Amino acid sequence: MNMMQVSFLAIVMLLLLGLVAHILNVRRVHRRIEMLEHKAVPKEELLSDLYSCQGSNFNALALSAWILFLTALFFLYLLTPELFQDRNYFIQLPRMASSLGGLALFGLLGSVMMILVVVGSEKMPESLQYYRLAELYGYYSMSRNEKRAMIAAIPLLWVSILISTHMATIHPTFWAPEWWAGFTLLFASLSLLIWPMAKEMWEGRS
Amino acid sequence: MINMKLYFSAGVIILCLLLVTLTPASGQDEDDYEGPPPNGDGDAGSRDSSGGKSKLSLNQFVRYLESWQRDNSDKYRYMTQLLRQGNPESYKVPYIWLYYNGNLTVSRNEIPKIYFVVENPNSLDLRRTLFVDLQAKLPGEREYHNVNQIPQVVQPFDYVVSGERNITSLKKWPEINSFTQIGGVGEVKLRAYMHDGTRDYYSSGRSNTTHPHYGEMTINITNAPPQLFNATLVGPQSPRYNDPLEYVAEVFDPDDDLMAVRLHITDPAGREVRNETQEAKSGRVSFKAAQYGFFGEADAGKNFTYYYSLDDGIDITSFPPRDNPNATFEGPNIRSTPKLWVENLHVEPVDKNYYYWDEYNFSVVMRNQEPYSIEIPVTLKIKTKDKNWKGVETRTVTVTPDSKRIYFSTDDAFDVLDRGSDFSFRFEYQEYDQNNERSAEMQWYEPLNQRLMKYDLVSIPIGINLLFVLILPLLGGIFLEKWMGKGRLG
Repeated sequence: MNMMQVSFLAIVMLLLLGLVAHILNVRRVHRRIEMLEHKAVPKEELLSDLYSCQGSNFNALALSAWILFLTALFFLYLLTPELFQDRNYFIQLPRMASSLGGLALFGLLGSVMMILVVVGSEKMPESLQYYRLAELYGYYSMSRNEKRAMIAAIPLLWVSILISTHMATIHPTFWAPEWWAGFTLLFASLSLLIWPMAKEMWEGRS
Repeated sequence: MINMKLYFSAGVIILCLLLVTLTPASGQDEDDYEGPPPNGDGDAGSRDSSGGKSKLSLNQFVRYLESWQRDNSDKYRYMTQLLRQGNPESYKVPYIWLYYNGNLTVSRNEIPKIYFVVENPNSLDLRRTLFVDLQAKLPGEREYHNVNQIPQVVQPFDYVVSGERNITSLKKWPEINSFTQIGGVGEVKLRAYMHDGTRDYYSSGRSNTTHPHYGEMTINITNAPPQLFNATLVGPQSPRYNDPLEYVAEVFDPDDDLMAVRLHITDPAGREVRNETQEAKSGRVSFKAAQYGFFGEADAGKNFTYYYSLDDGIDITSFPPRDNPNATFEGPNIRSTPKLWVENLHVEPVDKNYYYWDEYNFSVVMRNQEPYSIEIPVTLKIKTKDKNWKGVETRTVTVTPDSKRIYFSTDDAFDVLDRGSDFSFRFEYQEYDQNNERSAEMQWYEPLNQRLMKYDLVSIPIGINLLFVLILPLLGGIFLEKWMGKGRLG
């Protein structure tokens, strides 16, 4: 396994970490409420009570950041054949990839896929509504600074996409530091996006 | 005993002659005397002193004979006939048999050992010269015919005495050296035919014969069919219609028959288009295409096959066997008459970096070898590690008697999958060129560049693309929030 594969694994692990933290956070709150109330509290009721709106601007930017994250992930790993020799964009969709609007179409592909994930997650039942991506941050209390920091993921992902695009334009030349810079930005962005869950899990552990 | 009778008869005749000669002396009429008058010489005869009888000397007898021959020729002829042949009523019929001590089923190429034996009951002086033929009756025929050409002769002295029988030794017809001379196969009846100038005799008249003696013999003659080996077509691999071509084969007939060797030339559908026949004995046969005029200009571009049939007069055998009509020998595949002259294939990329997105000028020099212009469709095809002769462009071009470079300029020849690959290109056309091909191809010596994207990062196309990529997610997020309203307070 080469370093690029390890890096990809690291991103997947970080995503899983965010997911697990989110699940554990919701369960822990549910358990504690039930202990305080000394009675069973329906999960749907709890989740409704827990949910607090974070503001339309923040929510729109947070969703944009997640969409941008998937696009940047595609650009870093699937645009050039360094990691996936036969599963990259230019091999799978050569006509589209080498067309004049090939990059834009690739970006569109990533965006649409993430939008579909968001829309699809809305179909979750009430008892699993905390899996809905659009409501993800409504279960956490976030300060304005934390929100700003999280929204900073968007410019970081922009830079990551620019780096990936540059690497595609100079391919087959490969400059590893540049690639690692792109990866670092992507990783950092993901870290910011899962920060509220990780922080909540850490702070509420006792 | 028979000889004794013959000698006795001859003696009686001579005695009668003597009595006739002596009659005048014993009182016969002078007119009856037909011999010469006694001339009193010493050797004419001398009278017996006791009875006036005289002995007939040899000289006298000769003179008698001469005078009878001269004066009474009819009686003289009758007398000589009597002396030579005896009484025709006393001539006995000779017998003849065939003698064959072999297998009654024989191949035509076997050496026949058919003999005949004659038993002649007549005494030596009565025997006549006999002429003997071997006769055969083929299946379905009603008449016998002679097998040999020259009759075998049995002279009167050709007999040996065996007990009281005069028989010949075994005799055969020396010019019959195989059963092929019998002229047929199947159950053939054989008999001996004998004649003495007066009468005819047949061995088939004798039925009470036992092996190996036969009156009429029935043998089963089989034929070994002719064979053919090593059929080859000698000539160029892909000949023109007027190239020297020679059909060669080895033929063999076990019976050593003269064979009619027929070469059949067929078209790919198996239809016979030409045939020629040669008569040959076992050995090599050859049909030269030019000699027989097998192929003409109209045959250019056609594929032919061939087979042989061998006829030995009895069996007709084909090679390859015609049980399967499609079984033939291949060839020749006559080249088409070339019309085009094609040379100097070339490719010139607009950019010397050989990017896959570049425009390439593929070109070829063509001319018509005929003194007129033709319009033919020409197709450009490309082969890379990803594409196996992918058609790029087809165009109808005018080919003139003068050499002209024809260009196919295209930026659609390669795509991103071809980057880094070696490539070949080919022009395909519907007429034959000087190599009797309908295409010409070339392996280019420069591989395509590995570069993935046509534009640099700082370029308008990439800028526009990136703007779209960066803005679209923002718009997507805003759209989702507007649509779902999850972040709205209250």
